[in-house]
Amino acid sequence: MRASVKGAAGAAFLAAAAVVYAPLIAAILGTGFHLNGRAAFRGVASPLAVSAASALVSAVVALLLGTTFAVLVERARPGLRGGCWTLGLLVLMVPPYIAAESWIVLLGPVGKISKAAAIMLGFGPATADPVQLARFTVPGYVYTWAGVGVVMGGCLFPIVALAVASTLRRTDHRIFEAARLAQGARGVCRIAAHLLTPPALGGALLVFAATLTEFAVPQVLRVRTLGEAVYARIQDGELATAAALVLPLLPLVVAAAALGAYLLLRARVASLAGLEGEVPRFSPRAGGRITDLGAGLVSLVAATPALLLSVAALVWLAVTAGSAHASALGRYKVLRAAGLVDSLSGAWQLAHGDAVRTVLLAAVAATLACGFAVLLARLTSRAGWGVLPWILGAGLAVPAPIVGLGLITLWDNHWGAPVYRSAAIILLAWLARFLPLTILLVQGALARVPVELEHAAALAGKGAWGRFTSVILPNAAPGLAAAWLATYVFSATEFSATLLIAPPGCSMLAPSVVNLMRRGQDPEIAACQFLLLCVVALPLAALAVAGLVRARALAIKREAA
Amino acid sequence: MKEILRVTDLSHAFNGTAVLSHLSFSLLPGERLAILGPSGSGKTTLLRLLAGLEAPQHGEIAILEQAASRAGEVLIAPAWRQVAMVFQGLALFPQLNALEQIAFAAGGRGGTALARQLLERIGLAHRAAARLDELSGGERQRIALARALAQEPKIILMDEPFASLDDVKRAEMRDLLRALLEARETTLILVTHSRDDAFDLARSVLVLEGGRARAFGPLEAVLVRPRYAAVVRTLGLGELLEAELTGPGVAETAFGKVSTPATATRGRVQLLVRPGQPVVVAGPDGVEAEVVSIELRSPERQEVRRVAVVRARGASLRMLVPAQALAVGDHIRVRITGECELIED
Repeated sequence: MRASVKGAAGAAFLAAAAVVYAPLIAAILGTGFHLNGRAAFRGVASPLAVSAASALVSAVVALLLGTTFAVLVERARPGLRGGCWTLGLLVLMVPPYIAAESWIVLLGPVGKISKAAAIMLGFGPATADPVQLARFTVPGYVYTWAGVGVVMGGCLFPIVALAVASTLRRTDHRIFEAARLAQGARGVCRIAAHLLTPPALGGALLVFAATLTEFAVPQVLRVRTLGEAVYARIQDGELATAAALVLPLLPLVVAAAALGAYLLLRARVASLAGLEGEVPRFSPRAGGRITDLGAGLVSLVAATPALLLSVAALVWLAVTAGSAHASALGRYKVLRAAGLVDSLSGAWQLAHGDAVRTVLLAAVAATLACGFAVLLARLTSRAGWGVLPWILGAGLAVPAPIVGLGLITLWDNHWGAPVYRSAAIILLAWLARFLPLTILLVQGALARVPVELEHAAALAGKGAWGRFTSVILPNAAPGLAAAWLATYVFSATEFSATLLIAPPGCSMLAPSVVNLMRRGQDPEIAACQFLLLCVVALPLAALAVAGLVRARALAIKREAA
Repeated sequence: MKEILRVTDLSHAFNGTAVLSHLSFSLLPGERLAILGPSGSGKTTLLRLLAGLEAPQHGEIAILEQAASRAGEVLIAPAWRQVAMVFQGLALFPQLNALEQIAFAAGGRGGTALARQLLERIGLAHRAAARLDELSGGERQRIALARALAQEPKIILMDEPFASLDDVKRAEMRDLLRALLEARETTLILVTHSRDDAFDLARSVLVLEGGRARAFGPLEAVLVRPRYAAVVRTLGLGELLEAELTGPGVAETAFGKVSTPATATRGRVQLLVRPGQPVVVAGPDGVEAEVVSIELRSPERQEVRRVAVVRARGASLRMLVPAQALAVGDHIRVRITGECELIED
């Protein structure tokens, strides 16, 4: 029995490793980058430095926003806390390239907010001439590596917030009270700094790694990061050079992600170390009205760069098409001047095929990834090989273009043609990119089910399947749903690898939207971005409705009882 | 003598549920008070209010005759109250080693030097550099105690500090605590579920039930005159038996007639039957009862004490029985001797 479990665990691990790492190996070995890699490396320093600088800015922004958000929101009263976290987590659902586009629309050289603010503050031309006013532009700070960093930091701050909040919730709040009794507020700050620094830094390092491997935002903001250089090479058909350019990122990303993961694990261990017995929940008792106000304000501020600005920009564009046309003096190619409904209907006509395909394929990818992750997590935990999922988790550090290039190398040949020319290649790309994340999330969800429950079920005569369906599944359901949702969202909004490998006649919504965005600001394009946000929000809305229905059914049952 | 602590008409509630209700008591310096009561009776909340970690909703707390908390406000911040606390679960700082834990609390009072001195006193000088995860449960307990003492407090609050220890370690910790407190005039307020801890360490006792004080005073006085059922149950003083007063000083119970104080004459009452009061009798004198179970208690003078649970007319009672053979299912005759105290709910 034991040997068969180990065999199955080993086979599952190898299958997952093949899906995750085969593109990387193929990209290294198959593109022939080693032949002209040295030449490519010569031009890598400058874009790599820009990438690293923007990643550093994003890490700092995420650190500041995420830590403040978590500390204040965790101390707010429960109802407000739930609302703030909903707002914060919705940020993760906004694709960063849409946030970047909204920054251009609102804060760019002719941004709706930046230009109006500059004129109001007296930086504009001292004239009422509408032509001169229209020609006036503010400096294009958005189109800099710092702009990339701020957008990415604004989009990814929930990672830091989740890490800090998780540590706070695992920490016995009496530690802070003990510090308060001993040294007052200074003592609380000292202890909090000690406790929260590792998770905050760990989260920030993950943001740093994620920004390094981000390719869409620099393109939208026209910043010459490594990603921009890679895509320029790909467009020129120089796959080997493109691979050679991306590979220097790998050690940097792996090092940052590994250090981040280490700090997060250390924070978890540290917050548990002072306790005897069960971990009490972090008590938000100390908060008052001022804390609530602070939590509300910081949530709004934190959600602004990614969520609120995106929604505002898209609504503005979709609704005020006429004025956009008038003020831009022909600079933008406005396809249609219409209201919101017309814009949305135009977008639906333009992209409904892509939208439906994206929803279906992302749902299939998420379901496959979750199913496989559950199988792998169960098998490796029964075999006592808990470290294996972490080896697969490192696959998150493989940059998207490498996945794309590797899949092209692997499947663009005679025997791979049926896969390469179908939607299956996109499925493979998404699984290669996000299966590691799904595995880590699923493993975490399953690990939270107390092992005693399973033992009790085993003593009650339940077999492996019975234990899974009656104990594991119901208890891990919220975590599994979160893993499914995360995989779905990241798959549906994946741009970098999908752009490279999408076969003709099988385009996906995210690359189509980014391509459309390059054409300029337009109501229909804004509506297409809206459509992408709707695609992302669809399962979330379904889950929310299911939750409400279930809560109502439970309430009715309780009343009847 | 100046009171070290005075609590006046203290009330507190969470989400509309009263946790403490009109509590008043005072302590002199060097007093050792045990607070007992069932779970949810407000013991920990009382400690948190005394420490200034929360403001009471009603009433006042004065430390050294100076108002420290008043309805809705903390007048003296926790760090300035000269109060230290040993938390349930200990709340040791995860990132600090043994010495740093104590030095953190010692702060401006001698810092590391005082911490080293205290480490020596608790017998852990050789573990100064040990991280938390390298310390055993008992060692952590000592560190938490030393950390509290490092603040050189006037009052030390302890919230079930020995809950996670086995009986041997508990006894060791009690001895250590007594030794550490002997040299000081520190007032001890100990929240505990353990009667052993209370009887061993405290000179006075406060019994809480539903946020109300059911007993407060010198331990011996409370043991002799418990008055409330909560006190009987909490201190394990004996069995409570339903009875009907049939006349002055006489009550009818399931175990026959018993004598009571002559204060009440009619109605249903609750009586305290202490362990030695029920006896096995021969002949028609007692009431027939069935032995439901036999329990053993720790020996006195090398003789194991046997306690039988007996049932008669739907009521049950624990009674000390002689060492001779008595088996479950036996029928014996039982009589309650002596006067039984009247107990209020």
